[in-house]
This record gives sequence, C-alpha cells and structure tokens, in this order.
Amino acid sequence: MIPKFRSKSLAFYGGSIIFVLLLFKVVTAYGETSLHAPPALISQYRLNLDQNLNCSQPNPLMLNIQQSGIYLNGSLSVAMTETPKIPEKPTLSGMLANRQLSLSGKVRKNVFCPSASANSQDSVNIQSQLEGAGTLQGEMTITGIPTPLKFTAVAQKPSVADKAKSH
Amino acid sequence: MQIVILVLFEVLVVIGVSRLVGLAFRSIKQPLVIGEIVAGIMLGPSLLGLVAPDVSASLFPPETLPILNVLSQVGLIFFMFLIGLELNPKYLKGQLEVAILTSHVSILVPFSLGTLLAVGLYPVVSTAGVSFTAFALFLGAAMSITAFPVLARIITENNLQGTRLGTLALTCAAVDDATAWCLLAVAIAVAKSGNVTGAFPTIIEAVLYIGFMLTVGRWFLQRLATYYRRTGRLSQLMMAGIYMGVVASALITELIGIHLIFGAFLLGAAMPKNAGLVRDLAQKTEDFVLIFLLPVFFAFSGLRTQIGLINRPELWLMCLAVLGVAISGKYFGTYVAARVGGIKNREASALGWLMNTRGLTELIVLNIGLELKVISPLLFTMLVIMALVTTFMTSPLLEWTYPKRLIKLDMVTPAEEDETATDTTPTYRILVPVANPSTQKGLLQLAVAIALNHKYPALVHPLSLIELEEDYVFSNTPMEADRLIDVRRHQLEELIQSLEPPEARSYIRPIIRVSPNVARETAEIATLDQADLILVGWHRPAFSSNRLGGRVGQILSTAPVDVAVFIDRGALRLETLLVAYSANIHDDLAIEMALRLLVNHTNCRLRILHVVKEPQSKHELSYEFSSVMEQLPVTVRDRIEIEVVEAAEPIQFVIAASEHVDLTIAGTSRAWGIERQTLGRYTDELAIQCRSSLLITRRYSKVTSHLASILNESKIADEVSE
Repeated sequence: MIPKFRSKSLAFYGGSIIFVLLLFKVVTAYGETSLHAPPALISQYRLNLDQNLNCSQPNPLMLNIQQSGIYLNGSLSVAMTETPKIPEKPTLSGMLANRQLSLSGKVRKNVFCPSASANSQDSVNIQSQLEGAGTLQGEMTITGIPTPLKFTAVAQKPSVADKAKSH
Repeated sequence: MQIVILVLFEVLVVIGVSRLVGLAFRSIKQPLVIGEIVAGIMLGPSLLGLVAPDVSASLFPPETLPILNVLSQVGLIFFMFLIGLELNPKYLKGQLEVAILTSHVSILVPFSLGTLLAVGLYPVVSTAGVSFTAFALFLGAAMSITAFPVLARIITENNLQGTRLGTLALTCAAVDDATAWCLLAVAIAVAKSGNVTGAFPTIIEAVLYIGFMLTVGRWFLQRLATYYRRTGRLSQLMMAGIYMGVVASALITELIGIHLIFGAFLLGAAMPKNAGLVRDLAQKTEDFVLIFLLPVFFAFSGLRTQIGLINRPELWLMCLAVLGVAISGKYFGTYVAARVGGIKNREASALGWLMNTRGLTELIVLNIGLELKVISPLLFTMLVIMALVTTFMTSPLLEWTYPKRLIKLDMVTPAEEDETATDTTPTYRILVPVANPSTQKGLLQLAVAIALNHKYPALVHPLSLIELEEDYVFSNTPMEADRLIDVRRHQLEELIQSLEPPEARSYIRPIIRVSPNVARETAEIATLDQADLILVGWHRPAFSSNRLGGRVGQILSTAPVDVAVFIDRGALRLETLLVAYSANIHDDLAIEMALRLLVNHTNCRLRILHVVKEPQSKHELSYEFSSVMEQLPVTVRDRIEIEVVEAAEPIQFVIAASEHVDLTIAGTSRAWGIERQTLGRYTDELAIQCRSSLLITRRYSKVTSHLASILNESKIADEVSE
C-alpha cells in the first residue's frame, strides 16, 4: 500500500517540511533569547496600609489578582481565614509593565470599613512596584481621601481550594 | 456526603442544560456537540457567573471541582477510546498521495503561522514561568487541529460519504488527526521538561510504547476478536478486560509523560476492526460516556472559560487575530495543497472549509494546555472562541461552496438515480417516503397504480431516510451509515420485487439517504427531484392519536409539492373509486388522482360525490373540473358517475358511501373534517371513520397538472380508436 508519489508533490511536500522545521528552529531561538514574558504574580497579596483609613475598625485587606500576561484583573476583599464562599468578581483592571503594577476600578465601601454601606462604591487606583520575594510596594488612592495611602503587600501561599480551582 | 450530593446535583443540571442547548443547535443545522460546549460555557463564569454570581457560586463551589475533574477525565479517557475505535484504516483507501500531501500541508501552514503568532503573543499573554518553545509548540498545535469526529458527522449528515470529496476529506482528516496527536504529545513532553532536548527521553519512550501497542497489543487483541467471532457476543468479562486495558494504557502514557488520553486512544486504534466487535463495543460504551460523562467535561472546561477576561478592545483584536490566523492557515494550507495535488477548484475550497472544523478535539488540546499552565485563562478563552467559531462556520460554508445539487454529479459509487435505463425523461414522478418497507406494500402498489401509464414513462421513487438523532453515536460514522443504507436498500429491493405488475418494477428507483431531519429532507428532495407528488403512508405518531400528526403532518405542512396521504385499510383491488368533492382546490387534486387511476387502469370505475349544502349550487361544477371532464376520452368518461347530493352532514354521507368502494379520495377541506389548523396540524375526522382505504390529497401548486402527461396520450388513443 505504499503510494506512488509524483516528483512534483514530493518536492513540494519535502520542501514544506524542511521550511517549517527551519522556521520553527529560527523562531524558537529568537523567542528564547529575545522575548521575555512578564513575571508570574501570585494570586493573593495581603495588604498592610501604612496609614489608617477614617474608620473605627478597618478591615484587613486582601488584594486578589488574576493575571493574563500583562493584563491584570483583580479585586480587593476582606482578608479572612478561610476562602469566602462567593469569590469576588474582578472589579479592578490594569496592566503590568516593567515590574510596575497598576490597577484601577471600584471597590465597595464596606470592604474598607465594616460599618460603611455595602451599596456605595469608592473609586480606587493602585500603583505599585513589584519587589523581590513576592512583595509589592506602592500607593493606593481612594475617593474621599485626599492623600494617597502607602502600602506594602505580601504574597499569600495559595490555599488548597485555590489550587483545586486552578486545575 | 454533602459534596457528593452537590456534585450529583451539578451533574443533573449539566446534563439537562447540555441536552437543551444541543437540541437548539441541532435545529439550526449545527452539530449537537457545539451546543454541549456552549452549554458548558454558559454554566461557567462567562454567563451564569456574570448574571447570577450567587447561584453560580453555590452551584459550583470550589470543593466540588476536584470531583468534577475526575469525572471529566474519566469521560475523556473513554471518549478518546471511542475515537480510536472509530479510526478505521479503511478510510485511507484511495487517493492516499493527495490525502497525505494535503493533510500534512494543512498542518504545516497553520503550525508555522501559529509559531509566528506566538512571537507576538508571548510577551503579552504569557508569564515567565513558561518557556517560549512550549508556548509556541502549543499554539502551533492548537492552530493545526482538525476534529475528525465532528468532520465525520458533518460528512455523514450531508450524505457526502460516497463522494470523492467526502472520502478525500475523511482520509485527510484521519491522517491529520493522527499527526496532530503526535504533535501534541511532543508539545506536552516539551512543556513538562522545558525544552526540546529534555523531551527526547519522553518522546522515545512514547514511540516505543506506540510500537509495542501496535505489535504485541494488536496480536493480543486479535485473539480477543477471534474469540468474539466464535462466541458471537461480547461478554461482561471481555468488557471488563477491555476497560481495564483502556485505563491501564492511559496510566502508562501518563507515566511516560504524555497525557492520559493518548493511551486510551492508542488502545482504541489498536483494536482490530472486526465490524461486529467494534460496533458492539462502541454501542455498549458510548451512551453513558456521551450522555453522562462528556457533558461534565464540557462543563468543567466551561468553568475555566471566562469571556469576561476579554474586557479591552485590544484583547478583542487579539482574539480576532487568533481566529484569522487559525482560519486562514487551515483554509489556505488545505486549498493550496489540494490544488497542487490536482484537485479541482470548488472541491479544494470545500475541502479547505471542512478541514477548518476544530470542535471537540481542539477543546481537549486546550484543556491540557491550561492544566499544564502553558496557556493562561485569557488565551484559553480566546482559543475556545476560535474553536467554536470555526466549527460553527463549517456547515453553512460547505453548503455555499459545494451545494447539495452538485453532489449528485459526483458519486463515487453508482448513482441511485441512474437514468440510463429509460430512453426518455420521465413525465411524472412520485416520491414515496417509506418508513417501514415490510408494511408499506400497499402504499407502493398505489404509487405504481397512480404513476404508471403504459405509454408514458413515469418514475416512482421510494424514499428511505435514515434519521440521525444524536451526534457522536457510532451509527453516525460514515462506514456504519453506509452499512445501514445497504440494509435498507436490500429491504426495499425485496419489496419492489414483490410488486405487481412485473413491468412496473423497472420504473421504481429507490433513494436512500441519511438525514438529520426527515420532513425537511423530504421537502428538499422533492424540490431537487422535481417530483409531481409526494405519496406518504399514515402512521400513528408517538404523542398524539392524530393520524395526520407527526412526520406526516410535517410533510403535509411544509412540502412545496402536492401531497397525498394514504391510509391503507387493506384493500387488495383498486376497481371502485369514490371521490368526495366539495369544489375546493384540494378536492380538485383528488379528482385528478382519481382520473389518473382511471386512465391507467381500464377496469376502474369512479363515482364522484359532489356534496352541497345549499340547493342553488346543485348543478354547478367548478370550471376547471368541467374543462377537465371534457378533455377526457369517451372510454374514460363512460366509467365516471357524478352524483350531486345535498346533505347537511357531508362527512357521514361520504362515510356511508365508502362502505362499498375500494378507495375513497378526498381533499384536505373542512367539508370532510380534514383541515389545516393554526399551528399546521390537521384534523382527521374522515380519516378515522372512513370504511375503505382513504387517500387524502393536499394541493400545493395551482399550476401542476397531474393529468397533462396522460391526457394527450389518451386523446390520441381515443382518436385512433374512433
């Protein structure tokens, strides 16, 4: 059942294979050396604000990040010991460029302060720098507070449930 | 226990939604599997998570995901086993040179384009943890896939499997599939080890295992096939052994370093293709896998598809770029290769669109990529969209480049409507849908009686449509469809041979097709074939007792041709005819039918009962009716008796009159309690109570005359005899 190949088809076929193999070799060589993808971010960072919000009992904050290359989606949530039943819908979006993270969007007021209403939202803008060992250093601007708040964020080890979700 | 209950509830929802959406896609002539994939996406964050996040979170909490994962992996393993089973070397018959050239080039072009695309995408959507080589390999592989199962179904549904295009497409897709799986295996090996050289041990082990399976494994399975042939059935012990083999093979390939699915696929492919063994095995395995487990895989995949991630214009542009590269790579690659191989323009184009189908196979590849973290959720979503769009476009584009009417000219096997036997083109054609050849002899006999006039050629086409209900069922593969077609053909031949008179048999040409929708296909064939009449037998439909419901009702409502429904009460002769007439266009058709029978058979007698309600219209016959009567030769007119009767209850009168005749013919008019209601259903009062066999006529075209072909003849015969 060995098919007879015409020389024209054989030449075309052989030529194509060689061309593609060469192309792949060249492109991967170029890619491995010259192309760099942004570093992988951990999905959760615990935020430590340097200053206090105007709040009697401010909540501990968690920054959740979903990364797709340089495009980031995220949300701010109240840090809890177990993962909350309802995962936060990403309300912040931004970009990662040269280890500079920027995210902006809306966050519900009661994330910052348990006594605030759940229905109104603040506009939040986060600018930070990715430091070594998975920490972020930067500042957060919230509507209603004139000066930007400095913070440091520490990466959290993902919990078991999160691991399962990513599979 | 709580988790188990939740998972079972999830499965319930998944199966229900999958079936519903699948049926919706079926009705727009798309493969069922696309509907199931979309259903999975709808249940995930792309739709349900967006509109009702609380419902979504309580329905699919994180704790249940590992269990769903297990179920979907099991489903995937056995599904790949079924795919391997279906891959039959017989598909590689003929045109092998062109097929190998076309299919390999149709992989090379999208692969290279994918690699180039990777250069653009890597810095933007990937992360530093993934090597460029693995990324480029995966993207290239994702672009090069053709879904053989979906393609095989589309070909079967369009009845292309006997044509040159169909066999070429199947061969190409089979070669393409096998090559792409190998490419995927390499990609997985590279992804796990980080670079090409690190993958070599894995690749070598994989090759060794494949060799082992195709030699030692095959030998062992051959003995299984022999045992099956001897005993004639597949015992549970054998099934247990085979299933254990599937799982063991999957485990081995996972240990080697390529994915679970390869082992399962390999075992299926290595199984000796003894038709009975494969069919039994497939039928026993497929229902549970396709109905229960595979939708779970789609739902699990859908939970990872987040269309909401594409939230910027540049991301949508990227998605379009991915789509464009995928489509152009496959289409132009296939087209150019086919043209170089000597295929004609239109066929090469159709082949290009067919090979563009990515469907389910693509989804499997993408899920593996996501698991290995080679592609991110964003790229995953874009590629899923690409897979859906490319599969969705196949059927309409195929119809556009290669319309059904051209397919008949292209049969590889002898055409069913080979008309070289008759010298002249037939003047009259009747299409007779035959659902059950063993019980519809009377129907066919009547068709012969109506059609055949000894001097003028006419054709009767018994139409047998094999309905495809589900997708991915073994009986829908091209080989199996061909086998079913042969069985039907045999049954029809037997029926035809039993008809009288023997001369009539050469004018009967069966048409046997596979079709997803019987009523629609019947209407299409009637139009394509230029049939003058569709003669269909009644049968009791499943959900109502209306004799004109179900498929018969659909044909009555939708066919753009005159239709007659025959309710057979077992009359053996056709000598006395009764026509119930109420000056309605449908009743005119009834008269035409009766007159045809009268002209064709000299021992027929006809009684026309013109029932009126008011006395003043007593002696008025419709203009058309009178002119037709005048055209008839004397010998025919002598056998007609016209009675004008005034009756308050026309139906009862006709019923009483039908007691003494062989066949009653009536149109679908209110007078006889047979009329079309608002939703297209017909009432069937006369049909239930009539004492003789009944023929119900429904006129579609005011122009067609069923008598023109025989009237001239009869007139000439009349003049000659005078």
